[in-house]
Amino acid sequence: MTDLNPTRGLILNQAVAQDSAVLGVNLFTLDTLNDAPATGFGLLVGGDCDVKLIEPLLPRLNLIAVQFPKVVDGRGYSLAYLLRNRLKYTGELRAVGDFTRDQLFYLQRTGFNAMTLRSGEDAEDALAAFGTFTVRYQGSTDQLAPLFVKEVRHA
Amino acid sequence: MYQYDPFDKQIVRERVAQFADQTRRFLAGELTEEEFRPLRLQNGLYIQRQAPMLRVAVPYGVLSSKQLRALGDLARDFDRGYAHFTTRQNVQYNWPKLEDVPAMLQRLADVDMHAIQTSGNCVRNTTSDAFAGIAPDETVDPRPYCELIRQWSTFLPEFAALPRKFKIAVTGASSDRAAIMVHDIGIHIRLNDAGQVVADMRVGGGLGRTPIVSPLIKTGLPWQDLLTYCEAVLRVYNQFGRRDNMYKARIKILVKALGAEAFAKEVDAEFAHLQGGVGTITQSELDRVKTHFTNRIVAPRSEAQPVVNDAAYSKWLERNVHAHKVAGYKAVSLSFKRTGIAPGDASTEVMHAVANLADAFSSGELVVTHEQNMVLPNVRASDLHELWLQAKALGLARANIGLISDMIACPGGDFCALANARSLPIAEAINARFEDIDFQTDLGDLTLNISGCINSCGHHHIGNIGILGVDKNEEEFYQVTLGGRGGNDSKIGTVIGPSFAAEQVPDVLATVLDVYTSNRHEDELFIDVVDRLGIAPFKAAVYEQNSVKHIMSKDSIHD
Repeated sequence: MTDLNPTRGLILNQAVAQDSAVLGVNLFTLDTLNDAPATGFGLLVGGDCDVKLIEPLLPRLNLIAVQFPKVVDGRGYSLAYLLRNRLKYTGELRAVGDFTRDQLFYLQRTGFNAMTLRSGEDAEDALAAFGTFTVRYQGSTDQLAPLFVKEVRHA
Repeated sequence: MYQYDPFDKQIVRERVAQFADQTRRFLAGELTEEEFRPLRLQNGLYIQRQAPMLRVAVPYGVLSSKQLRALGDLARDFDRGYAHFTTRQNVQYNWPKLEDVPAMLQRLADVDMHAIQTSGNCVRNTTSDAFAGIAPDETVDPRPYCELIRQWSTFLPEFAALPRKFKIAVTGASSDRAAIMVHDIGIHIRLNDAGQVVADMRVGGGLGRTPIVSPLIKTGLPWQDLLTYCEAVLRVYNQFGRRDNMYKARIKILVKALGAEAFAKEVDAEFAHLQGGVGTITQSELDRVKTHFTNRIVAPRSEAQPVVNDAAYSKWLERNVHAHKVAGYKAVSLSFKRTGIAPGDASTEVMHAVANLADAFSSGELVVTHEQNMVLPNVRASDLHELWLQAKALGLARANIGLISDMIACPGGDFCALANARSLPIAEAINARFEDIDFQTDLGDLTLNISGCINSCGHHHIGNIGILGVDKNEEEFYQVTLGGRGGNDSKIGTVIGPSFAAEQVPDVLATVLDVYTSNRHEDELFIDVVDRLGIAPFKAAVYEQNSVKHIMSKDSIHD
């Protein structure tokens, strides 16, 4: 596995995506919350998780990891958008699961700032994938304003 | 048409580089077929029966002559010398090589075209009225709004992996020619009583296994809110649309399950967060997009339409020439429904010739129609006869627009890996049977739609006569529906009964048409007779006259 955090420029190679030593926190799920400490832990959820269930936990969390079960299941993108823009979550938001570097651009745009890539991806190539597109027509978490409100478009 | 600015050109160029890299990695074994599949699909590339199929976007059907020439060149250089225009106003190449696709995309980018999101589970190419901008019954030109939607939906990050494909259609006319009621979102842009541009929003229409005419969920939405409202619809769909069963994954199933009112409430609750926010369309952006449309204003002309005494020309004027907003101009349909050629197919030579016609007669612009024909939108009335002569020489002046031979057909089992049955031989047999144009003209306005499978690319549910190919024990059969229609009073047709063998289809149609002609009141259209009599007399005549030996048990394919 390759661990990628474009905002920190951090690349790590690790065998286990959810290794607490790598993440710096222990991960819990909604089912194992009873075992979690008062604060300073990570929460692992699926893309189908209702943000309302996460909201009361936010003050306790250092990290939220969103599982993408299949590359074609894009619910995690909306969850990221809602966590960032509706709940104003500013901590680490990590994508884990089934995606390749071809999805990194979308993951970053919707609000993920950390991604655990599958093994076999070249880290340098993966970092380059963030620069695939320099034009972003519409707003999302990374850039709330659409291109059309920018002066440069109307020059 | 909309002229790309440097940003539009840049994003298309970046896409070419991205897809070239993805293709290279797949061919080098770095990406598995399973990993490459969603990537190629979002670039319109299917793996089909014979070869890959590449679908190229023609945003809301509008093409310049230069673009059509380039499409013709691609067919010659990378395919077998022809391409296929679809009911969603796109163009498909049936025989490209996978390794050639990046080069094809580069050639497309050179003329400001692309294949972005022409398939896959994402927002697809937006379609519109082929007569957008010129129809006399239009109150608002929908094309700038279509272009705003095109840009907003391009690489829309949050909705890159929806439960299923998502299609938006827009009309600005009082008479809907864009089938907006059978799209995931159907938008009618109009002027309200105060003269402001507003949109009525329909959500959850569609064909396929579960054909549904969409409910209206929002009326009078200010144009500024168009994109944020669509965003709210998509956010609700992306979270709550079904992903466990691909046949239940379209938004229509979600809208139906929740009920239109409850669905609208969900959308409104989401929209409340976005309304008036940074995604709101600004006046300066609308103005910018409008000014990037060329040929928007055509000065009125006073020259008379030539009077020519020729019966064939008169018939063509009646069927293929349409009214234009601006005095002295007409819109002309070039018929791509020709005997011996699949509906919507065009060779390189024909594409080049039509590009020349567009340059000579229609300010270099043309429109691909939902009915798989092409429209020259800005023809001077004084040029009509000369245009007719040239179109006739090209075999594109058959006076059959809106008649039975102007049928819509999907590529069917000859090309498509999904199809249960072939569409094109059925289309051809019907064409041959009812070739006489006087007979067709006497039948009058009638829509005939043929789909090779229940995915319904030929929109058979909304044909006045619909034909659906079904597979029974690896044999092809055809089910007939009557009474369907698109437009303002869209309605799903009714299956008349058990399906037929291919060779029976022309006879079945002949019987249906006999019932019509012997029961119609003066000038009564086919669809009106079906509405008045119901399907019973048609059904009785069809099953009485057509041998039962090939007839199968009633298909239970509508779930």
